[in-house]
Amino acid sequence: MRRFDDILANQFAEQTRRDFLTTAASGLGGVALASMLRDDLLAGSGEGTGIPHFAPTAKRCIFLYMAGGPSHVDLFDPKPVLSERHGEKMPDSILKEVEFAFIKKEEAVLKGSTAHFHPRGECGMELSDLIPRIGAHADDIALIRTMHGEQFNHHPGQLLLSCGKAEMGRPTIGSWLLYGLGSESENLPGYVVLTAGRGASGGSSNWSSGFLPSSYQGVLFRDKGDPVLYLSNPPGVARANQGRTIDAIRDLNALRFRDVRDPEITSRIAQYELAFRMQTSAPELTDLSGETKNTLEAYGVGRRTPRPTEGMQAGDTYNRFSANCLLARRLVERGVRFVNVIHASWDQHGGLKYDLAWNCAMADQPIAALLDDLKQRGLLDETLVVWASEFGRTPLGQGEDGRDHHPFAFSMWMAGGGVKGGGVHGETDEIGWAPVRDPVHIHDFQATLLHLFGIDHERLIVRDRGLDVRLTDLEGQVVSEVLKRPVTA
Amino acid sequence: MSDTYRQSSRLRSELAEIDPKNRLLARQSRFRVESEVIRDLFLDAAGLIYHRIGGPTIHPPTPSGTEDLSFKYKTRWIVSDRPERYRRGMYIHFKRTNPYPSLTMFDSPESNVCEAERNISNTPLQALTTLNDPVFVECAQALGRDLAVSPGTPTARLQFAAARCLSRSFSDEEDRVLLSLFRAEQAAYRDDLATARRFVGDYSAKSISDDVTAAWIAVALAVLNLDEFVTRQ
Repeated sequence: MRRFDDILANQFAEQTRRDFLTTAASGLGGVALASMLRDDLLAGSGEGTGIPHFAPTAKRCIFLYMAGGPSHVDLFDPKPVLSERHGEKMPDSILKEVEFAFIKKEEAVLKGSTAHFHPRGECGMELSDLIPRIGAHADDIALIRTMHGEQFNHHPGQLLLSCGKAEMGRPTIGSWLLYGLGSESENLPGYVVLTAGRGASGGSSNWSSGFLPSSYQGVLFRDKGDPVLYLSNPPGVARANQGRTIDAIRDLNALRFRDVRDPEITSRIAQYELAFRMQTSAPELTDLSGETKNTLEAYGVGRRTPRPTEGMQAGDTYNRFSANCLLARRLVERGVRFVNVIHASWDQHGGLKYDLAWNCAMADQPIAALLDDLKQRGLLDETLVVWASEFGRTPLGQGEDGRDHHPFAFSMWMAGGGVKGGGVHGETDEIGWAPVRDPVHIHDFQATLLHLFGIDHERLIVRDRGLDVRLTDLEGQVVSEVLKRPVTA
Repeated sequence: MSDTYRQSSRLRSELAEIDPKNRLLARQSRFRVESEVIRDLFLDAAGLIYHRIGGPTIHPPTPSGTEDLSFKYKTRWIVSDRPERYRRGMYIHFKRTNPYPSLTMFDSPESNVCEAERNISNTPLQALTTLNDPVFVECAQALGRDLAVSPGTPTARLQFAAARCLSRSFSDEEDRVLLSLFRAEQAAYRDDLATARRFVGDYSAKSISDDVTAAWIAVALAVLNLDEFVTRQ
């Protein structure tokens, strides 16, 4: 893998062989320029690594980022023994080695789940009654019950999930995909972030491009005002005014290019044209008035948000999350590569019963509607949907009715994009503390995600400050069992 | 300064083949300046910049709602008064989980790890920022008013803009492009003074009609958005 400036240099050499001014002046303009530049970038990143390394099964990803740590033993991993032993102490042998964020070890006792589980779908996957509509999609879902990592606090855990290392400054999954595969959308950013609820601990580090150029960072779509920052013209400037200004900028930049021949100038011309197109395409995207009443109702757009417990940030979270799931579909329809749908928080240190049910009632309907909708439109085959969080929650109780952070075993699921639905991968012990069979580290999940996109995680490497860096750090094994098309040796 | 340093940054096609990265220094390098400097250049061209050295960080205007994105949403961003808000970009308050948008938009590091060399990206969001962010638009308003009140022919005013923003004069071809923009904008605003007034904002010029000032602001915005304006060459 070559350094990024080598790639740019290559791009530069390529472009000077072409007559950019002709292209720019002939009115082919931005689109052609942008795609040429992108092609060159891709040629650079693919060269020697041959991205995609093999045929992909996924082209786009909707990443349901359930920040805070949803409780696996209440949602995805039924543990009758945990309920039987409710109130008992943990053996010291287990507690000795672990750290908690908040629980005091000497007071720790097991806490059984109050949720009921039933087999779902034809496969009979056991899922909690708190998420019945997601459960109805069990046959599409590959559930992994043995996720694990090392980070037991939110921000480091989120960084591990997003970037493969609990350090700020590295690219997030969407940035790696965009860097490796480029964007398929001509009028929208290739990596979009949608949030509902309060902010996640990691803030924008969950969609940062790290040391990769900022063109690979996630673009946050805002729910109030402009969907993209600075999308609206200044007051008193109509689209025609803005168009004439951008035309003048283009003409002057083209004159400059004639003199100095720097392809950066033609790139800038292209970016201004794309910006101008985005000023129409982004509001068009977020305008849901063209969706049918049935669709809006299926996702729960316009739902009222029930009263949360004291201290929870609610606002119009239910409606927002519904709209975000629908927007996610509209985005992937338009070729956007990676959509990060973030919801915080699933951090139930207390009030577990009410707050978890509150969150599930928010998430269940729109996520199920999204899976239905993608399927109906034939998009699910090439769209990977991921439900993930930075960790799960302890089988131990905390306070009156809470659970602490638990990174040693937790659950996540994937659907679509070449994932083999209707199966459970991995098994935890009888209380859901640790994997006993087929453990899957966060790096293994990341390797699997890249694999679905036709990328060998060991060959998508960028050198940063003298270090060859990849999403999976130094680890990662593809979980072949969850793929429709298993890995061939 | 050495002869090598004083070379033109013009790219000759034969050099692109032999030495695309310019390792042999056959020309001067050419690159977009850093995020803070882009802001400084805008404020300077507008005559707004406030050069006080030192002191606490500043909080220039930021879109509403951005402060809610990170966990510590209770830390409010209270916009600094004038002229404090016109201080240089290096004084902008920096929050790692929620950095000031227009800084990171132009590749300012997020200050989490050492970054030996900044990236130089070129994105549509950057174009939107310098065209539409009120901070940058205010610079165009200030410069546009200066152009509107500056004496002489329209061409003379354009030369004033060229000298202030690019330290050179415009060619006849460049003059033609900007004059035609000026005329088109004035024609558009002439019959709609209320709209012109909204574009002019706080930068209305005494004894000059707002449609004229608005047209000069459009010209100023175009000049400030040129590749050359944000490029060190």
